[in-house]
This record gives sequence, structure tokens and C-alpha cells, in this order.
Amino acid sequence: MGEILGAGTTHYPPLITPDEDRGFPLTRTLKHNDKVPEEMKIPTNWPEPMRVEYGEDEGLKSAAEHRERLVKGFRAIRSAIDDFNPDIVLIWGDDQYENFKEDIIPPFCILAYDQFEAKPFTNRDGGLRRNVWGEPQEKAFVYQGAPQAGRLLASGLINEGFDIAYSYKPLHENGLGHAFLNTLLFLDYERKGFDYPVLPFSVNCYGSSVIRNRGGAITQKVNGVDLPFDPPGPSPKRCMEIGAATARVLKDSPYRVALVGSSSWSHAFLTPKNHWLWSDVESDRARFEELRDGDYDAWRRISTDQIEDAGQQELLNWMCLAGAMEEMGRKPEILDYIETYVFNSNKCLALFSP
Amino acid sequence: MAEILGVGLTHSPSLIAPDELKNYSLTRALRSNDRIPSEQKNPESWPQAMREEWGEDEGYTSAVAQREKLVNGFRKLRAEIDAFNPDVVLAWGDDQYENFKEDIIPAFCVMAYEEFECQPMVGRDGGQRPNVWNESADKIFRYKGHESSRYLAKALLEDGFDIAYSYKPLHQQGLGHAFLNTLLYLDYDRKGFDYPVIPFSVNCYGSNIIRNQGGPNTQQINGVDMALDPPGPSPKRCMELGAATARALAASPWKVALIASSSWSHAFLTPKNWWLYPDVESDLARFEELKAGNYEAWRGISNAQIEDAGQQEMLNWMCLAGAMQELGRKPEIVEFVQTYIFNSSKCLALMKP
Repeated sequence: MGEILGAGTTHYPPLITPDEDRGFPLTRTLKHNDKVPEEMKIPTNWPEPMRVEYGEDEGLKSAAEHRERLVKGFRAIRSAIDDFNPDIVLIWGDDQYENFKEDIIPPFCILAYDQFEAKPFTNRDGGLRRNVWGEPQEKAFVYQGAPQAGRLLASGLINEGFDIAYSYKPLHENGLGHAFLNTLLFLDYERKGFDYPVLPFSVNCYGSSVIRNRGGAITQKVNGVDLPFDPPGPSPKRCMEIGAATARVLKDSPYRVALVGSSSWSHAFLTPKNHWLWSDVESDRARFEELRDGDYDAWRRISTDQIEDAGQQELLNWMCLAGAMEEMGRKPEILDYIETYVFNSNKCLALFSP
Repeated sequence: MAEILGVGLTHSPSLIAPDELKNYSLTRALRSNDRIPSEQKNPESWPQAMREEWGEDEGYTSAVAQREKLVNGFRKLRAEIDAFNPDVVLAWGDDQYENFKEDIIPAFCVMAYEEFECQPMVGRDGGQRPNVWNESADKIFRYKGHESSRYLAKALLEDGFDIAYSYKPLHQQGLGHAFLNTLLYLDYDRKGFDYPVIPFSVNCYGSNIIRNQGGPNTQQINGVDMALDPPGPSPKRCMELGAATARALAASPWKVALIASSSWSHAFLTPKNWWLYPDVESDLARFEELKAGNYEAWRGISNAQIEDAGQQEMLNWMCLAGAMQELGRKPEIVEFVQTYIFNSSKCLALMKP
């Protein structure tokens, strides 16, 4: 009989780079995003808590505190995973125009590879990506896959009427996209190793802009004209349904499975109404209170339009987890909920123990 | 104003090659399938109807007769499509390990390309493929895509279908054979085919799509058979998707021809008949159900039944059946060609407004 542990995390990329590099999305937006009105680039026009967080050092001190809380949360989650000792760690994560591009965008895909080999510290330009662990550019991380469990889950979901895609090897992204890879790096912040077989479950969070904006903030143009909107991602309701079905299939399997939903919540760079500078803090707080109260049903009623308005595209990963936890009758234990204006996105760390 | 025409047909590759080459899947199976016991290869052991069809000339006379029926049927379908004058032609077809391989197998995919550029007369070895039109290997066939493809993908995703979409080819340049042959046969007389096209890919080969690479032979790794792949979508799910497609398009501004393209039971997918002839009885049962407009009978068919009968590709027709049931349409049978020696029974049908 299968047993299930639930965990909600983030895969926030700046946790990789040393804070003193100030590789925050906000810094980049202030420097490079021409759509931001000039007056909004001046901190005096920002919300009060944002100015305080930014401080006199462009957020350096706040970044250290942000990191401390996140690392503490990741340690608690890792410890719970170790205690649970799963056969498989399944991760719902988004593909941000990494493995899936113009030649196919699946709403969901189970990556049932034999193994994953990734070099997270090689930059896109081939150079070293500075990282807090001081690890070299060529360091390879190898994770075992879960091909048998992946086939079992894909079969179970298809038999339940989900039109899930699956794959046995990479398409465009060698190894793993950042949502999955960062999750694994952060769950092993102490670098003691991560030997649990991994089953990445890809979710098309970026929906109507996954190709149009290539998973970022900037709309691509062809001959000077904006690309049209892409078809949407799956709805919150559908994500919760597939999460629930995943829990049912795995509950009847021989495996002990940790189900991980990995993403930050509202993203500044996806929130035009806040000039791409800060996230929709209010909307995230409403989602947080619903989660804390175990009111999963409130999440089911959220529309794709609401998600996109709030810059909460990546919350769809958590919606899958929420559907699974609702199916299992689990209430969350909140490890931390970190609100921020300066660091792109609010972050929640939670456990759903048996 | 939206209008929908339903069309069922086949993309049987054997219509491309001249009959005198006798390049049927049966002749290939007799020659090179080592799993078939030699006594089963002897026509003496075949069903009576199969022996008669094979005749004294290895099926040549029968091939000519089958072609005539199918070509007449395709001409009739084309005439109906021309009379309907659609804004776009949507075709449900299978991907037989052509565009989709180990790096992703979607259950369904809407191919929303701007254009499809195909070279069907290039053989697998890169040389000239013999064809009844005497067209050269470098002849290019271009088909237009259509904006309704994004509309349809959006509508289906919003309706709870987890369909994939794509804007350009993955592994297969142009179009897979299910779609391309359909277009070639609908233009058998080569007057051109200018209607925009939406290919709608269905994973018919399910549990053997990678294991058998869409054919009859199981691939091995280190001498061990590959594991079964996850299944394809069920007949029920295909019918639901077809119904949702009909609803979305009926609410659209476009006139659409909905085409299901496939033969029915395939000999090379029917182990119980030694891969020599299809499950004729099962096809006949499906045909009687279709003729009676009894779509509901198809909904209860399991994947296991489909695979036992070698009817994997019928999932394309299941999508059409779901759409036609949704619209309350009864079929008009244009042709039903039963055969033992030409791999598969073939049905041509119209579901008119």
C-alpha cells in the first residue's frame, strides 16, 4: 500500500547566487525593463514596506534574512522527507520555455527518465554561475529517475481520463528545468546528497504567454509585431483534479511517495499592474489564509484570468499538490510564509504529514 | 456561421504504390516476419475468403478492385467537401512514432502550424518512392494551417481536456502519414487541395507506441523486450474529446469539415491471426453499430478490446463518432471494404448537416 507525504516549497533562483551579487529580479527590472515608468523606478514611489525592505543597501540585509528563513524551512522539509524515507519524490514544477518550446507545449508531462544529469552552475553563456556553495562550473548532479513509477502513474492517470503526456528522455532541456533542479539543490542545501529517485511532473503554468513571452516578462515580436497569445494553461480546477487523481493512483501503488509542489507564489515580473516591480502581495495573502485554513475548495474556484492578473501563474504547481492533499484529507502545517516586495515573490513552505 | 461536415476515411498507404508492385503488408509479413509459423504462411491454412481474395496472382486482381472502390469513394468524399466549401479541414489521425518519440508522447496534440511542407514521394532510404501518380521524389506538397487551431486548443483546455499543441514540427517534417495520405487521397485527381488544415494527433498506438515504434516488432534493450508504454486514450475519452471539439467549433465562426482518418483492424496488429489478417468479425460488429448510428456502443469498448482486435487506429474514428453523436448526426456509408489480404478493412462515410 502506498503512503504519501506532502510538501510545498519554492525554487527561487536567487537562493543559488551569493546575496552580495544582488542578482535579484528587481535589480534586473530596474536596469533593463523599459516598460516600467521612470517615476516608478524611484523608491520614494514604492509602497512603504518595499522601501523599508530595500533599505539603504539595495536589499542586501533583507536578502540575508530572506535566505535564512528559506534555508531553515528547506532543512525542516528535508528532515521530514528523510524521516518519511520515500521510494520516490514527485515534484510538480513549471517548464519556463526550457524543455518544451514551439514544437510542443503539453499542459502536463510526466518525465519518466532513467536518470537526470544536470550542471546547474554552467551559465547560459557557458561560463561559471557563481553560487553560495562555491561549486565549480563543471560539477554534475546526477539524480535517479523513477521510470517504472512514472509509467504506472501515467497509465493510471490516462485510465482515469487525464490526457497526460509522458517522456523517457529530454527534449530541449538536458537534465532538468530549473523548477525541479533548484528544488533538489535547495532540499540538499547542506550537500549531503539526494539519493531518492525523482519523478518530475511538468505543469504548463505560463499558459497564454509561455511562447509569447518565452516564460519571462518580455513579449516576443515577429517582424515588429507582438506574438499572439498562446492557448491557456490548465485551470486551477483541472490541476486540483490531476493532483487528486495522482494521490489516488499512488495510494494504490506499492510506493511511498513524497509529493512536492514547487514554486513561489505571485511573481513581480508577471504582475503588470505593479509595474513588474513587486508581486500581488494581497492576493497571495488571501491564498495563504485559504491554505492555512485547509480551504482547498476556495482555490478550485479561482479562474485562469485571476491567476494571470495576480501574477500567480506558478501557483498551479501548488494547485496540483492542494488537489492531492484534499483527496487525502490532509491539513497543512505551515513552516514559514515569507512576504516580500523586493525579492520577486512571496514564498510558502509547508508540510502535509500522514 | 459555424457548420460542420463529418467525414470518415482511410489513409491506407497501399493506395500510393502501384498495385503491380504487390507491396502489401501481407507480402512483407510472409517474406520477413519470422514469428509467423511456416504452416500459417501457407495459403492452405488461411480462411476460405482470404484464399479467394489472394487468388492465383497473389492478390493483384483484388488489389485493382479494392483501389477502384476506394478511389470512387474518395472522389465522392471530395465532392461533398467541395460542395460544403469548408473554411478549414480538421483531421484526426495517429502518430505512428513519426513526430512524437521518446522525448514526448502526448495523448492528443493540435498541430497549429502556419504551413505544412511535405515530400511524400521520398522513400525511407531517401530515394524515389514508386507512386501511382508518377510524381517525383522532390515534389513538394504545401498545405496551409488555420487560426482556428489556437481557438480550438484554448476551448478544449478550458473544457478540461489536457491537450498539447504545437506551432512547428518536432521529429516529422511536414505531416505524418495519417494526415498526409488523407490529403493525397482526397486529391487523387490532383486538382489541388487548398483548404486550410488542422491535424489533430491521437496516440492510437498506446502501450506499444515506443515499445514497437508503431509497428509489429517489439524493440529490445540488451536482449530484453522493452516494457509496455502507458496506454493511449480510451474510446470513451476520444468520444468525449470529439464531442467537445464539435461543441467548440459549433460555437465558432467557421465552417469545418471534421475528418477521422484510419482503416480499422490491422493485420499487423492482430497477433491472434498471426499478423496475417485483421479481426474481420470485430470490424463487422463495429460497422453494424456505426451503420445503425449506435455510437453509444463504441463508448463502452475497452483499450484491451481495441488492442485484442488490432483496432488501435479506430481511436481516430472514436473522436469523430463522439463529435457526430454530439451533433445528432447519422452516418451515410459511402463504402465498407472488407479484406483479408490488404491489412485492414476500410470504411468511407459521410455525416452531413
